[in-house]
Order: sequence, then C-alpha cells, then structure tokens
Amino acid sequence: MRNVWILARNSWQENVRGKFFALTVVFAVLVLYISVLLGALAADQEVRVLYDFGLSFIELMGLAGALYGATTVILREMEAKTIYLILTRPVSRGEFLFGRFLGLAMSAAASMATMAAFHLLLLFLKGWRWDSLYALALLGAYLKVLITAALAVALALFSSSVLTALSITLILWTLGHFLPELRYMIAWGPAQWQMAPLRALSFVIPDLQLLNYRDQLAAASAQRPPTWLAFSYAPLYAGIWLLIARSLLRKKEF
Amino acid sequence: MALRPLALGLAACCTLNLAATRLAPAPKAAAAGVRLNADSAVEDAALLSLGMRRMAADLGLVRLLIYYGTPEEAGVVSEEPGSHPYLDPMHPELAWGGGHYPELASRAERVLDIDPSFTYVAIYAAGALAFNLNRPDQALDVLRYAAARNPGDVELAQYMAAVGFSRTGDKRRVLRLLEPMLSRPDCPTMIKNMVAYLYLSRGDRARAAALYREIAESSRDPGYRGIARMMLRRLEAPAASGR
Amino acid sequence: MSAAALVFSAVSKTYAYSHLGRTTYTRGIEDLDLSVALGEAFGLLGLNGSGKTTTFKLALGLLRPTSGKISVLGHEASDFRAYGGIGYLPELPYFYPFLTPAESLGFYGRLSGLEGAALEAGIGQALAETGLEAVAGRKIGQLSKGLTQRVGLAQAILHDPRLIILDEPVSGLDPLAIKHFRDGLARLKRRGKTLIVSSHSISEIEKLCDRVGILKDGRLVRVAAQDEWARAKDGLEGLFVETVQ
Repeated sequence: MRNVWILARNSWQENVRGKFFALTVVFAVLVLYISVLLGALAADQEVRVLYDFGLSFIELMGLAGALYGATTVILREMEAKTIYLILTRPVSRGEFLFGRFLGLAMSAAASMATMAAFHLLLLFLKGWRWDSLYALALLGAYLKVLITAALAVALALFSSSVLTALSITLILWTLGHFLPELRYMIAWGPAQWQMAPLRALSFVIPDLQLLNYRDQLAAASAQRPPTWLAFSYAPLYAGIWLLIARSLLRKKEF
Repeated sequence: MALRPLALGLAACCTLNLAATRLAPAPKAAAAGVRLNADSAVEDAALLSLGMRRMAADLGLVRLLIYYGTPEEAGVVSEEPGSHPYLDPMHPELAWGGGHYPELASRAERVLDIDPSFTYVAIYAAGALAFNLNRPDQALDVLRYAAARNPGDVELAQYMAAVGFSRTGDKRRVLRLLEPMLSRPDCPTMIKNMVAYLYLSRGDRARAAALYREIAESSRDPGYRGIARMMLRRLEAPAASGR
Repeated sequence: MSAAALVFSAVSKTYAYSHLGRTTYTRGIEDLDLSVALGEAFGLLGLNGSGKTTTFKLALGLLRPTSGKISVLGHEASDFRAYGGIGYLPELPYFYPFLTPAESLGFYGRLSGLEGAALEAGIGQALAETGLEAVAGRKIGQLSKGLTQRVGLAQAILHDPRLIILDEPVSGLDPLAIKHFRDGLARLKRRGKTLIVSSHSISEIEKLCDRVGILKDGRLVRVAAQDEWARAKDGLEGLFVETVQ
C-alpha cells in the first residue's frame, strides 16, 4: 500500500502541475457560466436547467479528464520509458497500476469537486435550496467516471493504442446508459437466437444507469435502485477491470 | 496469453451484472418507446446516449418556450418590452390574433416521452392551450398524456378539472381549483397570471395586485414580469382602464 | 570466493513480432552464460544490436527470457523484491519534467524503501556525489543532457544498492561530464559496489572494469580479464575489434 500511495501522490502532482487539469477546471467554469444563460431561456425552470446542465457537464468534464489520463497514463510511461526507473525498484506491477489509478481517481475527484463548488454557488445564488440528492447524483457521476477509467486502463493495455481504447470506452459508456433499453429489446426481440450476441453483451457492459442518479432525481426513492447496490457495484466492476489490467501489465515486456 | 485474464474478467463481469439485474430489475420501458422531435432528434438521441435524459428534456422545454415565444406573424408592436405581442392580459382567454402554435401540444408530449416526470411542461402547455389559445380539448389531451405517465398525480388531475370547468365558463370553480396551485414551487407563471385575471374579473383588485406584484418581483419569466408591471400600473392608476 | 551478484545460465531471448498474421522472430541473445561476482566491475561491449540492453533488461525483469535462468543477488530476476539492492541507469534516462532533481530523488528513494532521515541523507549524498546541488531545485525539464544524465546516476545510487547496472552512462556527454562520471563510478567501485557497465567508449571500460564480456549477434563470444587486454598489443580496443570482426 505504501508504494501505491507514493505513486498516487506522484500522479496527483503531475496532474495538478500539468495544464490539462487546470484547463479542464477553467473550461468547466466557463461552461457553467453558459448554463446560467441557458437557464435564463427556461424562465420558470431556470434552476432546474442550471442544475441539470451543471451536473451533466461536471460529469462530462470529469469523464474527459479521467479518460485522457486512463488511456495515456501507462502507455505514456512505457513510451517515455519513465516506467523503467519504477519497475526496476521493489515495486510490483500491480502496485504501479493501482498507484497510478488511485492518482487518477484523486485528480478526478478534485476536479469534479471544484466544479461542483462553483455549480453550487451558482445554484444558491439563484435561490436553490440544498437537497441531498445533489450529493448522490455527484457521487454517482464520479463512480461512473471511475468505472469507465478502469475500463480504459485495461483496454489501453490490451490494445496498446490510446485511440482504440478511447473509442471502445466511449462506446461502452454509451451502451452502459442504454442497458435498460437493451434488455427491453432482448426480452421483446424478434427471435431469441438473434438476440444472443446482444444478450451476451448486456452481461458484460457496465450498468451505468444504476449509478445515474442525476437522471433519477424525480423518481420516487422506491423506484431508484438501492443505494448499497449501486455503491458496491461500482468498486466491484472497476476492480474486475483493474485486475484484468494488472494481469495484462504483468505479461508486458519493456 | 492476454486472452485468459480478459476471459476471466468478462466472466466476472457477467456474474456481477447478473447479480445486479436480480437485485434491481430494470424499469419497464414504455410500450410506445421514445418519440423525438424531428428538428432535434439528433441532439436528443445524443444526450440520451450519454445518459442525460433530464437535460434532453430541459432543452426540449427551452425549444418549446422559444417556439411559443416567437411571434407567428410579423409587424406586431408590443406595448411592454418582453411581453407577448398577442396577449391581452385583461382577456387572456381570448384567442390571439395570429397565434396558433400547432406544434405546442406535440412538443410538450415529446418532452414527456423523454422525461415523464417533467409535468411542468404539460401544465405549461395545457395552460397556454386552454387559457391563451382557447383550445381546451388539446389542453386536456396533453394533461391526460402526462397523467398516464404519472399515475396518482393529484396536481394534474386538478388542472384537468380546471380546464374542464373553463370550457363551461365556470370561472369560480376554475379559480377554486387553481388557487391551491399558486403555492407550489413549480407553478408556471402563466397560471399565476391566469389566476390574477380571474381575480380581476370578479372585482378582487387587491388580490390581483398582490399576485401581479409577486410575479413582477419573483418570476423568472421576463415576458410575464413585463405584463405584471404593466397591470400594476393600470391597477394603481387613478382611473383603471378595462373592457 | 566472492558470491555472485548476477548469474545468467543458458539464457536465450527471442523477440516475436506479429504483423498481418505473419510472425517474425529476432534473436536478442542466445545461450548466454555469465557470472559477475560481488564487488566486481564488469564491462559489456558489443556493436549496436548485439544484445547489451537486452541482457540488462533481462537482469532487471523488464524482459522475460525465452529459456534459461537468471539470478540477481540470489533472487530470481522476476522477483521485484530483489530490486531494492539494485540501481539502474538506463540509456538516455527519462524523468518527469515537472519534478526537480530533489523531488525526483525523493520519489525514487521512497519507492526504494527509504524514509525520513535516511531518505534526506540519501538525497543529500546523491546530489553531492553527482554535483547536482546547485540545480537541485530546478525542474528537470529545464536541465541539460549532461545534468539529466547525472540525475540518472544519482537515482541509481541513492539507496546505496549493492549492484549498479549502467547502460551507456556517458553516451552523448561532453569530455568534462565524462570525467565527472568516470570519477563517480571509480568512487563507487572503491566502496565495493558491483558495477556492470555497457559502453561504446572502450577507453572508459578499460579504465574502470576488472573484466569485460564481448557480445556479437546475441552471443557472448569472449570474456577477458584486465591483465589479458593489458598484455594485448592494442589493448582492449584491439581485442574488441579482433573479436567482433
């Protein structure tokens, strides 16, 4: 765990001192400002639009930063050979991987929390009153970002290509939100044998709707998936892909 | 081989997803599916695919408000900046000269397809159809559309009753049904404006003025704020004008 | 008899490249038998592509042998727990440009198990031995090649390893920097460290090493001791040219 923490802190330092993190936050603040203008168009529903737009954008910006980091963190170190000076020390490949992922998770949490702070300030100025569902929605978004980042890390190691990993991860992100519709299609599809590949896919892609509290805000709490299920699903699913990534990294040669 | 850890991992994912499905069955999809507006289908589909259903509904509302807020005929001069050029606040139930807005109901229904819980859209559209455009049947259709997706929603039932009574001209009952809605946080300004008119029509200038004042001070709709300020000036003038 | 710091037993490494369904095989090294004793300075010479870097990477677990066994400080080469006793300077070392030399050494020192006062002392000593004190607070991205190479040496010796592997340590350095490096390596040798050095600069190897191994096409074709090349007409250079031609 000590090495994991040392590597995580190093990743955190890199992200904080790097331009991408700062640009993400600046861009997000700009877009939140634009959302105020959009909210004005919605008249009576200004606060709802500001709320939804802000949360959606925080999630997208968190995803962008995490995906960029996840697909490049290890491949970049392999190409730049900075990985040599780490793996030739008493550091296992698993510690290296988990350390880098933890750093990524910390950076994503910080950037999303910063954006959320600006967003909350705007909401309070517009007369919104605190609702704990906001925290649930934000946490759900963060966990979705982590699941997707874990997928991206594994895919980047499997394909050794940033572009391939990014493309497949984005497709899985989309499909993960369409899972209820996919399952409906499978149940009501024309012929079951034709649905077999889709059914197989539905068992593998991440169920991001489980964590999509942002879109379930209006639903009664009884209709939402139980919180314990969503918040245990996320680390388990991400953990599976990190273990896959670890196995792939252990087989890599440099 | 790299395939073995991948295969084991995929098997673990299957197990996890299967367990999640058993513990939290997915909500049933609507039989009619989701129908999208032709002019925004790509954006809406993109937002849905990104898991941003509520945002797609919000943009649908913005487009509906822009649609309804755009004059259908040119050359109309409005009395107050931001006010709707066709609206006579003293007689909002009269059909507007030149305003038809044939897509108002369908646009509202498309928003409800995306987010069935967004009843504000239904109430807004129904209010416009019933009290401004004099099309109560269409207003009831929209409210029924929303009620089918929100069974047990008392507010929608109350609005349906109000529209029903407005068809028969029973302003007293309409007022009685709409008054409790004023205190709801999601009450459209249009409904408040309608209630203020009903107060005026039965001679209750004080209540009408109080409601117009509330609209002028707190509404986020600049159009109705303009109307409210205009009405306050008329009400506070020594000789009130009216028909 | 000294214990062995590094032992290669019939080690071969073949690279496989797959492209469009076809796989081509390239020999990295073949049937390498090599033993380096503790406290010895061993040089590895060879033309480009002869297998020097492959040999080092196999010793450090960055590559896996196709066949044979490798032992480093009594452990299998793939056992990362052994790496605490090893220092490695790769050819053209890369560092995180956003860190200063002091911060980099702190990072690598912690990963090597150093903490607290031992870490601070190790950083101070490494900076002093490599002449980096004046630039310890400057970002590595702003340093010259020579200074970066010195940071490479500093991180290799920071944790006082028993075995130091250096791949082309003076590559691309100016004569003054080379002298500085040579002096540093000589000090390490006097302190009883085991050094394994590869270089195209034969004169550097000649001055530093007790024994030299010459690789040709992935095979260790000759191992010569210091007295052998001292007796040779053209010294180590003559021995090398004669072996590889």
